[in-house]
Amino acid sequence: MNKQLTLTQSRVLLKQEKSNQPILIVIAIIAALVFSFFYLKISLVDMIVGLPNFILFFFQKFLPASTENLAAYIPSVIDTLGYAVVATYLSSILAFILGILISEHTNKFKAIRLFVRGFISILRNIPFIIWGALLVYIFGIGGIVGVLALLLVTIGFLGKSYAESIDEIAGDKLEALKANGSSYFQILVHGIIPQFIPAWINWTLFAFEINVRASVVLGLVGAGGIGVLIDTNINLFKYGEALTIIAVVVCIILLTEFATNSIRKRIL
Amino acid sequence: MESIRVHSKGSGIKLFGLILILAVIFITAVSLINLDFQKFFERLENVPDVLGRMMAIDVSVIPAGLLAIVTTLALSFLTLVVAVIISLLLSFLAASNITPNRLLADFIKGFFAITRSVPDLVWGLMVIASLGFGYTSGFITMLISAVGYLTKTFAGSIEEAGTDIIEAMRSTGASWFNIIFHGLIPLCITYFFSWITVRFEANVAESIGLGIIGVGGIGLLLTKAIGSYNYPQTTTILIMICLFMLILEFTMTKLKNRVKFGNR
Repeated sequence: MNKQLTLTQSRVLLKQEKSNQPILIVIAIIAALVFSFFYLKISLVDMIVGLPNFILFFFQKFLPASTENLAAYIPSVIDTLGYAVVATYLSSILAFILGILISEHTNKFKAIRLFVRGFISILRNIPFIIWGALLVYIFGIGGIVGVLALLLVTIGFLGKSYAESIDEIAGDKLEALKANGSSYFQILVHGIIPQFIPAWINWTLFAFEINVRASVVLGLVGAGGIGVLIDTNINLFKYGEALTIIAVVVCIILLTEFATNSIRKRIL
Repeated sequence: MESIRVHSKGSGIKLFGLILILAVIFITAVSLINLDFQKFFERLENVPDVLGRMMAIDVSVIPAGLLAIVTTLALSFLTLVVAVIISLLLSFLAASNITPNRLLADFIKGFFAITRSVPDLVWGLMVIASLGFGYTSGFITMLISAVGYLTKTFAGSIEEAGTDIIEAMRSTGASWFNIIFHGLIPLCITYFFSWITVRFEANVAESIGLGIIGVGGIGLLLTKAIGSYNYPQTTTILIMICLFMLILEFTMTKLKNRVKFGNR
C-alpha cells in the first residue's frame, strides 16, 4: 500500500526499469566483433579499401561490356529458364504430396509427419549450391543434374510453405465435412484443395523466381545453364563479355519478377 | 427437378484452357532443354557404388570442421555488423516517408534492386577476380548482398510506420535526426531485429556457398573433400553443415521471438 502511494506521488517513469541489459548486449556484440576480427586475421585496411578497389577494378576491367557474341548466349538463356520451369513443375507436384504428409490435418500418423519434416529440413538447410556440387560429384556434369539439384532445393522450400498453408486452411469447414460423413479423399478434394489454390499459386510463383536465380548459379558447379559462361569468361579474363552475360542474367531475373508479379496481380 | 449450378458458367472451359496452357509450357520447356536421359541412366548404374562409399564417417575431420564453422560464423557476423550500420544509414535515405530527397530515395532503391538481382556467387566471382582469394573477398561479396537485402527490408519497415508520427514530431519542431532517433528507430527496432536474424542465417548460408569458389570456412573444407574424392570426409562435413544450420535456425527463431514478444 505504502509502495503504491509513493509510486503515484513520484514522477511518471519514462522507462519501466533501469536495467543494464542494453549495455551488456552492446559489450557482447563488440566482443564478438573483436573476436571475429582477430580469428580471421583479416586486415582492417584491406576491408576498408576492398570495396573501392573492387569498384575501381569493375570500371577499369569490366567496362566496356562487349556485345559481340550476344546471339551466342541465347541457347544458354533458354537452358537456364527451361531448367527452372521443369523443376518448378515437378517440385510443385512432389511438394504438394509432401505438404499433405506434413500437415497435421491431413496426416494422422505422427511418425510419418516427423520423418517427412526432418527430410525436408535437411533439404532446406544445406545451401543449394552444395547440393549442386554434390549431385555433379555423384552423377557427373549435365542438364539433368541441374534439374535434380533445383528439384531438391525447391521441394524443401515448397514442402514447408505448402504444409503451413494447409495448416492455416483447416478448421471448421473440415470438421463440417467430416461430420456429414465425407471420406478422406472427399475432404482433400472438396475441402482443402479449393482453398489451397491461391496459396499454391503464390508459393509456386515464388519458387519459380528462386529457381531462376538458382539455375543461373548452378552453372558454376557444372550443372548447365548460363552460369558456366560467366565462370569461363571470367577465368579467361574476358571481363567485358562476362559483364554482358551478367547484364543478361539481371534482365532475366528482373523480367521473371515482373512476370510473376503481374500473374499474381491478375489471379489473386 | 431443377439442378443447381455448383460451378459458374464457363469455368470448365477456363480450367481446361489453363491446364492446356500449363501443359504446353511444360512440354516446350522439356523439349527445349533436350535432357540426355540415355547418358543419365547409364550413369545411374554408378550411383549405388558412390552412395555406398559415402556411407562412412571420418571422425578425424571433425576438429577441423568445427574450426571452419567458427570461421564461417565469424565472417558472417563481421559482415552482418558492417552491413547493418551501412543499411541503417541508407534505409532512412531510401524510405519514402522520411527521405530528405525523393530522387535520392528512388536512386538508392533502384540501385539496390539491380545489385540484388545479381546472384551472390556471381558477385563472388567478380570480387575474387579483382581482389583475389581470401576472407576480404568473402567480406566484400557478402557485404554487397547483405546491404542490398537489409536496405530494402529496413526501408520497407520504415515506410510501414507511415507519416503520422513523422508529422506529429515535425510539428513540435523536431529535426530530421530527432525524428529518426526518437521516433522511428524505437518504433521499428523489433522489425529491424527480425530482418537482421533472417539475414544472419542467409549470410551463413551464403558464406558456405562461397566456399565453392574459394572463400574460407566450412564450405571450402567441403569443396576440398569433394575435389579430392574423399567420400567419408564429404559425408561427415555434410552432416556437420546440416546440424549447424539446424541449430542456427533454432537459435535465430528463439532470439526473434524473444525480442518480438519479450518473453524471457
